[in-house]
Amino acid sequence: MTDTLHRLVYVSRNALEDGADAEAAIEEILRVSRRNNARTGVGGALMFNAGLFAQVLEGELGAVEETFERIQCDVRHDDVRILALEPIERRRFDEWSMAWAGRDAAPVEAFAALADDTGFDAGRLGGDGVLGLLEAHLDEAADEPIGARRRAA
Amino acid sequence: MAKANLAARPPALPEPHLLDALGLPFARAAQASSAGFALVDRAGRTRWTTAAFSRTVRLRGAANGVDLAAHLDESFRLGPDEAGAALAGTGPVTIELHEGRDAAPATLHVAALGPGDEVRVAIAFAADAARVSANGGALHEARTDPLTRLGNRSLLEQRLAEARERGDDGTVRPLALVMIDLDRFKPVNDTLGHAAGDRLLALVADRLKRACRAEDTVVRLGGDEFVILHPGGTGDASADASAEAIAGRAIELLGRPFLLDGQQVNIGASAGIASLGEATASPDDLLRHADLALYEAKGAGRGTWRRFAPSLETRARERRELEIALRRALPRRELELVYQPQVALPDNALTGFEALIRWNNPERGLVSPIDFIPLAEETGEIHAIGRWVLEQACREAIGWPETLGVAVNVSPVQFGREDFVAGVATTLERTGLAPHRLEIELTEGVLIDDADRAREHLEALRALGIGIAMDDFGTGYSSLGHLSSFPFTKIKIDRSFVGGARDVRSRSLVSSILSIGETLGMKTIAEGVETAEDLDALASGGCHAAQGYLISRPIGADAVAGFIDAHPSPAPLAAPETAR
Repeated sequence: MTDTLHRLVYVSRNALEDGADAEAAIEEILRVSRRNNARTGVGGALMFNAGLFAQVLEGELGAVEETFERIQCDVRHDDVRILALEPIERRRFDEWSMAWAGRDAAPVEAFAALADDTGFDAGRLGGDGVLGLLEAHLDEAADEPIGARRRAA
Repeated sequence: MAKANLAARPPALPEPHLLDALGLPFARAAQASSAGFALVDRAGRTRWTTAAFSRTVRLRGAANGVDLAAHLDESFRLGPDEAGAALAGTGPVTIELHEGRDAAPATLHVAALGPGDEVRVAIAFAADAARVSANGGALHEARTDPLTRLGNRSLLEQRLAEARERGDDGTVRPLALVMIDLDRFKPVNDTLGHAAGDRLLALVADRLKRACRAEDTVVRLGGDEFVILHPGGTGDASADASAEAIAGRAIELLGRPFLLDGQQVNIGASAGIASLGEATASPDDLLRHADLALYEAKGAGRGTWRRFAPSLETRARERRELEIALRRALPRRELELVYQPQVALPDNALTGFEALIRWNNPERGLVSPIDFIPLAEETGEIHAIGRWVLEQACREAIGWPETLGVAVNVSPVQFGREDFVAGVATTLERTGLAPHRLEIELTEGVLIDDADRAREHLEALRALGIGIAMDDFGTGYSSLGHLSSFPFTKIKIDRSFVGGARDVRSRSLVSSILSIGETLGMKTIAEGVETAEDLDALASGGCHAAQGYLISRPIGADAVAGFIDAHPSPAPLAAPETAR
């Protein structure tokens, strides 16, 4: 059970002030997660927009759970909502240990659909919605400065 | 002890040129160490030894100028020339010094000291050292919770004792105790199993450590109860503010989802805080005060923290006194049942009575059920009280005409107990009351905790032929679909929809409930009927029965017979098919 391939999709609310600090923090998050994930064989994609993080984690269940627990203890985000946790046949993000789907304008509207008037309604888009969004945006974000498509060390 | 030895006879330092190589601070440290140190020359003779070294390698008498290799060969079972080779080489080499077959060996490490190859330094560790460290380990283990690797109650007690000792010099250092109790942990254990529950506790422990500072002590008291002991900063007047931040962070972190075996698990936590200061003078009180604050946090709806205040102690004492009085209420015959008549509509014929409990305490006067039933539920006294109510109501009803029934309120706590139905059956048998004359009144609460058991009990009661009324209908949160799947025989329309100042909205709610009852094939009864207008409206809307001040207030058991005589009875109460 713990070694079968699983995918986890979650969104969380950003607890960082937007701006340069957030930018630096995200680079740090990506750096650490790429290092950790390369070790545990977990891959996926991270996106930050409209005050929300969205992340897909793929790997063996035990490793995904361990990674998620580490992420859970991070105070830089809160209000974590799991949108999907399910076994998968094969990875969609196996090329990168943690792809950065960026924060440019294209998907902001779609991403902002996660945040309604009360600020947070993750349920609307669902796991597949977030996954699709991340995938679509990864293609557009190929030229993204912050380490998009950077291969795992 | 080492101090006493030094005072008795200052140990000799190495010769000056050796001391230069070794350094004075090192030599001093070596002399104080429980590990043995020696300097050995190229010829294998000891030039300087510490007391610990002599002890470990069993050098007696003169310790300097001894042929160490020969001595070791003599005293310990060593391989051929093992000691000689070790001392002649430049090392580093380690050899074991066996005292006996089963004893743990001492170890001797030999290495050249600096360039020049003139002197070897030998360091000897007694087998005792391993034992000492093993004992230290045993002590550590005794103060460690094996499941979470946090400290345990014994560690907490030690820390509190240390705080007390520090307090003895008159300076009170800021110290706070945060007591944390998990919410909804039991369902995880019950549904995912104890192994998953144990793993969850280990994850909880890690998150708690995340919520703390390095100088805090995190302890698992047992079960799903944790304590964080938090020393405040030296400049702080108290540890209040930082303890509150820790409690808030812990609750927030524990409220985040966990993943266990591919399942998402959500629990929560409540916390109580006590800190040394005006309200809590002694470390001895910290745990108790934090516990009282925790109780308060849970009462406030869980998922939050509360700080101890002296008023909590007053409240807890009052509660304890009420609890003791309540436990004495039954044997002192302070409990009493009163009976409120119920009539059929539209002919107003008497159909029976609802039994209601009263507590007449000599010191407190009449105590409202709203005040003592929750306490009875919490303390478990509700089971004894509930049994008494049922027994008493059945005994009373057996003396009434057979056309009249009795309705008895049952608390969810009482209803949830495994032997509830068996208890009811026994009571009916003992009192001889026909089952169809008994009606159990339940609130939606019984469906919340364990819907499967509730269904099981309801069906068993129905099989006995006992009626079941859903009390306070329309005030809970269960969905209609959910409610309708349980075998209730009657819906009781809550007084809030019926009583005096009802508006258009209440009126339409009542007619909705009446049509729901009709659709589900359940009888309807309205409570809190106070005016003739209410009664007429209910009767014309098709409500089956009513009770309220308009008909009669609850009356004492001694007045029931008179009431029955003065009121016409309907046709005999129809026994349902399921009755025996």
